[in-house]
Amino acid sequence: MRPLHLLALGALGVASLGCNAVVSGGALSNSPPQGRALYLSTGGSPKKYRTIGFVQVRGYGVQLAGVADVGYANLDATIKGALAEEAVKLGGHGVINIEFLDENPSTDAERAEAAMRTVNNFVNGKAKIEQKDRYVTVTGEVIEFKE
Amino acid sequence: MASVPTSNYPSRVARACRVALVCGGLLAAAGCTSGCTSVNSAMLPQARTPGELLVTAEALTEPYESRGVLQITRKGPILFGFADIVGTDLAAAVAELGPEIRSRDADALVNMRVEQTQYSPFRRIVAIFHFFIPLPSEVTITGELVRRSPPAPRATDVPAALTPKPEGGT
Repeated sequence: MRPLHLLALGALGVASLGCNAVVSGGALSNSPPQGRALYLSTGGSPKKYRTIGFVQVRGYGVQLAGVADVGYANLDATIKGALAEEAVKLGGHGVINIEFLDENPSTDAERAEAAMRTVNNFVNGKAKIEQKDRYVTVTGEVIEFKE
Repeated sequence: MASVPTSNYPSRVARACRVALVCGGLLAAAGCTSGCTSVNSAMLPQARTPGELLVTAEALTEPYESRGVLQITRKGPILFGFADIVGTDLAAAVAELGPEIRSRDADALVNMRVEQTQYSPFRRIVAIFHFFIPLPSEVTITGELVRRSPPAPRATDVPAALTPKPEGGT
């Protein structure tokens, strides 16, 4: 198959795909909290608390050929990883009012396009994998329970 | 009789000037008549009974079980300033929420945040003339998926067959 045909086929495939990107992460804490694990919530605190500080984390990663994500640009690695670790370092019992944003998620169409470009590069004899920088930003309020 | 060669260069310049003046006048008129505020809205499901879909920007006060965090992003071009062919407005993003919430075995999305690209009416009118450059547009919704705990059954909710019969009743 000629590269031009491959590109045309890819464009047709891209056009038929949706333009939405869905990003999700694992469960946070239940309310009311059970046990003594670090309390993580996008809302407020279930108990009386004292604010210790605020934390912002920006996870960086790279998407290769539209299919493989490398690095820390995902919600679990930033919220349950770096953000939680920083809260524990500050002596917090939890992080509340967590806000998160995957700054540049790829739609199915963009992933397919990157994959097709990579294939086209190899067909043309160029060993080049399409890359895309990825960023996830998370902020939260670190608290200490009074009770 | 010899013909004298003439050039139509001055008339073409004059015509181009007239077209530019008309376009400029149209843009100025559009700018004066259109507001600088762009509005976008969407209706959210507001069921308060556990099991029915609830989407809210506030936190829940009732007990719940967290089912994870969710971000939905829709992006695409706006053609001719107004043709949003793939749906990058709030209503389109909200329409995606229901299936995603259900697929995670949740019944509510709480602490919802919204980010959307907004263009002023004037910018959209300018884009009609710059039709070869589509406007990039994007809408993002983030929030926490939860499953609300079912309320404790009230006396009236208990089926009659399971209600203990009074002693010595007829």
